[in-house]
Amino acid sequence: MAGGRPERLAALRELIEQVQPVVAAHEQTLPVDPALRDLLPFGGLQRGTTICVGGGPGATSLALALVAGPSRSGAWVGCVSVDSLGWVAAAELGVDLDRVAVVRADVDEWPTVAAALVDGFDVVLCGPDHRPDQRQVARLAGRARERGAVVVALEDSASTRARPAPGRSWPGADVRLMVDPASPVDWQGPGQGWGRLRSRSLTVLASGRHGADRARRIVLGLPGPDGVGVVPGDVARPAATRPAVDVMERAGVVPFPARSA
Amino acid sequence: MSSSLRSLAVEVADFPAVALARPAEVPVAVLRANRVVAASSAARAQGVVVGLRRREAQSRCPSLELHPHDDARDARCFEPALQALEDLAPRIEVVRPGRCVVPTRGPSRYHGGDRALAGLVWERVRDSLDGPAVIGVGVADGPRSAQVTAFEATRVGGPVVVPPGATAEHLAPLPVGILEQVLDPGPGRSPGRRGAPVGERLTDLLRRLGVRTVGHLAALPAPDVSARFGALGRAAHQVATGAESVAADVVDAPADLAVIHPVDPPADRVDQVAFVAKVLADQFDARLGGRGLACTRVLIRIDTVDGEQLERLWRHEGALTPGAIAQRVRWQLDGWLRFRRRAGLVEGGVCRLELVPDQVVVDAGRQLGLWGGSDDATERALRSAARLQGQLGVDAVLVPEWVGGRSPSERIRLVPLEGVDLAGRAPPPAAPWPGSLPAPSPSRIWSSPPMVQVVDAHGGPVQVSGRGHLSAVPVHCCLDGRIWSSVRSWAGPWCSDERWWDATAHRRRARIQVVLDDGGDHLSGTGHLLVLEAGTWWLEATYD
Repeated sequence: MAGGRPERLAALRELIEQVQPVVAAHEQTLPVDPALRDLLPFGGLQRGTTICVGGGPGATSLALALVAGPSRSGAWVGCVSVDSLGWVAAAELGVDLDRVAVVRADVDEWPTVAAALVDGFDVVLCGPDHRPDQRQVARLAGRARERGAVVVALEDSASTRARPAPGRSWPGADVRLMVDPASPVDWQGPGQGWGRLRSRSLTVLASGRHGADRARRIVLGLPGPDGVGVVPGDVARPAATRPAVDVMERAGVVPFPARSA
Repeated sequence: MSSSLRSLAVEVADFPAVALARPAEVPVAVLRANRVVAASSAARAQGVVVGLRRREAQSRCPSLELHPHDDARDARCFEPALQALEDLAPRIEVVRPGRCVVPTRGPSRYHGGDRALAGLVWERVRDSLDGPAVIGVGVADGPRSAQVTAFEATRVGGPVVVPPGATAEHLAPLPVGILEQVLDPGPGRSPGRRGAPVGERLTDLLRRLGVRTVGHLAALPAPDVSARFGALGRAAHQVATGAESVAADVVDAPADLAVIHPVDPPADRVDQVAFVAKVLADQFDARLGGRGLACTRVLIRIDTVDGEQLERLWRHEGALTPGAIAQRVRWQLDGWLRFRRRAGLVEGGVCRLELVPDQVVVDAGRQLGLWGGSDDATERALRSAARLQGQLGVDAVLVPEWVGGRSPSERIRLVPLEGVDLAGRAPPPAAPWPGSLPAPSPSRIWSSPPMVQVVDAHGGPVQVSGRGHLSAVPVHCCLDGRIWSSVRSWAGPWCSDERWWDATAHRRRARIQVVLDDGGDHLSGTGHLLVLEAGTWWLEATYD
């Protein structure tokens, strides 16, 4: 065999370069529901990143729909400070509840809990019941990057309390998904005393950095037509017609406008 | 009848409430998962009973003091009583904070008979507890029948001694429900798959089959009870017939099953030792599991650098899981440290921890899946969950579980991961619950619902009549007491009349869905679920 030791070593190195698989960042993603693919860079939840969900009404459903895909593909979702989350709604939006663990802890234990969750869970959902300070957020983001976990941070939008200004509470998030408060949120189903809540259309604005810097704006049906799942585009309006009058009267509902005494 | 099983049991009624050490005249209740688990006698006098919801308890007794349940606090407060009992008898077995069992053979002879021993024990326990407490002491032919006797003795308020061989006659007139006391591991711990603890489910079934007293159960042939109700039924039958024996499946513990862990450097904080304990308990469990055994009584021995040794037996009517063992190590250490500090003794760090299986049974537990039943992601998640359990306590990590119910908060319950069999999770209910709202469900459920105001076009309050009719069209709505929003659309009302057969749990409610417009600044288009109960509207949940 020709060539000395250095040459052979160099050849071997070259061979290693050729056969070694290259894992690009966009390949390390957790799959999400097809309807949400357009919102995210690389079409999925990229491991090691932080995603902040907030804005107008519907943010909680959006966050739940976001973690539904990973949970159904076998990833575990660890949740902290989510005391007010409705788990039935989570299941309806597609979250596999067999892959969910919830940690109940005091506020001062939040950093410990979040760090431990990031170590072992693929997706960590930080709920709106506690808002960590900037230093804690930065430390958590660093840890998630190192461990390859995805942090989904949910800003408080639904409560009756005043909301924090958007974008202030999770500094340094890689992707920011905001339900556009300026666009109308349309609930289909309820009328003036008839029907029930069925589905909703909302507009989501996505912004961010590292491949997500191009702002996107999409309309989603969240929840979808049957009250479950998420669908792309405006939900087709089912005819929210008034039922027959005798049914109305049997239900004791006075047709609008109100009958005044 | 072997006299070696004859036991004395101590039961402190409502121990979680006693452990709070509040004055006797203050009504106190201890809550776990929004339900009363213990109430002081002042609270009971005003009608607060175990099992009530927080709001029901408060409505019966407005001055009621509510405290969350804390196992560690209970264990700490029980430690002085245990220390006092150790002077009287060796080999005290702790069942749970507030209840322990002592074999009486030696101590009775020494102190002059069962009655004398029981009186002595009763006095010692009373003197060692801080607050007023109702203490029951019972002596019977077996450890379980002694516990039942002690539980019954809390109503008498003094010692009850059943003559040897008369246990079955003594227990016969008692309602069969009392057997729950020895079939369940304790309040709130290791619930069965379908919500209620296994013992409660068994006695409930027996009652519905017409077996109403312990005597009725004892009259059934043992093989038939075994065949129909399995191991749990057999255990209940043995207690009922007074034929409690060392169970057939108890085997001699092999000598090499003990696990020892030197703690180096010595740990002087409870959480450090508890963390070691979890690791040690896992190792212990793996070793027992390798031989197909489960442990029903464990000896926990702790050595300190000063050469002191603290050992205590813990009994468990089911098998002890690693989490349960770690919890007991934590309780024991916590109570002991507190007791020593109060007695003015300086303690050194813990340098050695040992777990010895004192009584093992053949494990009739579940069979793992052929492929081990878990994958890499699950293993990683469980490791990190185990770490959190070690740091925050076993109950800190929860998993959602489907249970039946109408309101969105009732349909799924969060249960501690420790008591859940991950290989066989309950699937979502296949059939719908009549009266529950269909999908979509609200994504936020408020645990302390704010009161809301709903008014018609003239500002008059909107109510629902007994026939389920709204009194007027809701036009405006105020969620936070300040800002009024207009109702864009609404649906309902849906009335529910739940548990009308039960005077305490009866609830009549009516729900409506509203979509609000212009709620203050920018919460336009949010759907809410409002519930009317007793004339007041509450914000139950939000469709965020």
